[in-house]
Amino acid sequence: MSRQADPESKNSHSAGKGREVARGWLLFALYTVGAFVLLYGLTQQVVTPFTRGIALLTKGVLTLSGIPTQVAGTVVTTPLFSVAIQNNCNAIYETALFIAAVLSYPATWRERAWGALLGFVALYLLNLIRVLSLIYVGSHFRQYFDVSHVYIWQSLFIIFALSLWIFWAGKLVQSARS
Amino acid sequence: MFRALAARLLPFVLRFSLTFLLLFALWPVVSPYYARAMAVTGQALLKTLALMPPEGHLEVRENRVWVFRPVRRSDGTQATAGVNVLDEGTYFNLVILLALVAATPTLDWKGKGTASGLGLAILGLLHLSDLYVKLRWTAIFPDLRSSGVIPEAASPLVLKTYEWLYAFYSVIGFGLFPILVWIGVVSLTAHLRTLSTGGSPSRDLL
Repeated sequence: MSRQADPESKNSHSAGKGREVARGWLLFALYTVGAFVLLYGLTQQVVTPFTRGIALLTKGVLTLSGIPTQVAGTVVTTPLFSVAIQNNCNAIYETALFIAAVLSYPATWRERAWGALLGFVALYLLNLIRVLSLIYVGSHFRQYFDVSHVYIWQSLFIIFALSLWIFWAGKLVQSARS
Repeated sequence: MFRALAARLLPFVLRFSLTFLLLFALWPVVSPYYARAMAVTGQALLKTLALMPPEGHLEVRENRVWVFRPVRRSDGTQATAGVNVLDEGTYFNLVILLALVAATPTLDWKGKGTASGLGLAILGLLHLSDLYVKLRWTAIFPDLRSSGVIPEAASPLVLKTYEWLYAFYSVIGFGLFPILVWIGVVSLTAHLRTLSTGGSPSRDLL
């Protein structure tokens, strides 16, 4: 009897897959909680300075574009709109979520390091685009600011991070192995 | 594990985007019903488990769930305070979950239906737990004194626990929960399918 036709073999293969997913799922949840505890515990030391950095970078980009911009702490002010970048709107927790997913996937540490770096850079840039676009929406289409901020961008961030992770797990890790 | 999904990443993202847009368009119709369901279920559950004061109740206003409960003011008088404990921005992640399930290439329509039902039930429970954490934290929040309200008594450990839980739900729950639930229900549905049909296991769960 061939291996493919053996029902016991199929069931044990399926159970093995199930265990692999369950293990990854549990690790992802644990790493996310761990990352949250670390970041929330270091809000003043890490998260707030990180957010200030984004505010300053936003100011730099806007100033280069010819828009006079002021920054006070994490508040970015242009002649038409002012936005406060909150500690949960700086992509640091989304990046932590991404890195937790990378760490929970069976890969070499080198692959994980590349994955984490890829996620950090991509999500940082996407967040910069988010902040700039929200300032634009707030300046010119203020009635759509909440919709853009709460619904569109939050969802876009999640699907982007998830797709990036799937790409890393499915393409980069697999191709490196093959 | 995710090889099947990675091979079909672009169709997955496109299907997700289309479903998301469709559900987003339907959101104004669906949202009030979901808020009402959360308020009714939450009230029944919290009363049954004796987790809400007898005089308190949950109510929906503008698609948000509010708790109305008696509070003691600093001047010794009693009043009723209303606090928002679940807003649209929090439970909107059910749209993300449904769009993820709909875009999953390894599930047929029946499987997607099962996974969506399971997923909505689990995410609903997570929303209720979010509601409860906010309900407790806003009752014991020490800064209530600055607005003339005496917070409910709580030990430093309880205060710290609810502060961290509140932050966890607020900053990371929105993104984390739909992804966790999605992976869980899709894997479970695919696994149950394989066991019930006795057929060959799928090459990949996702």
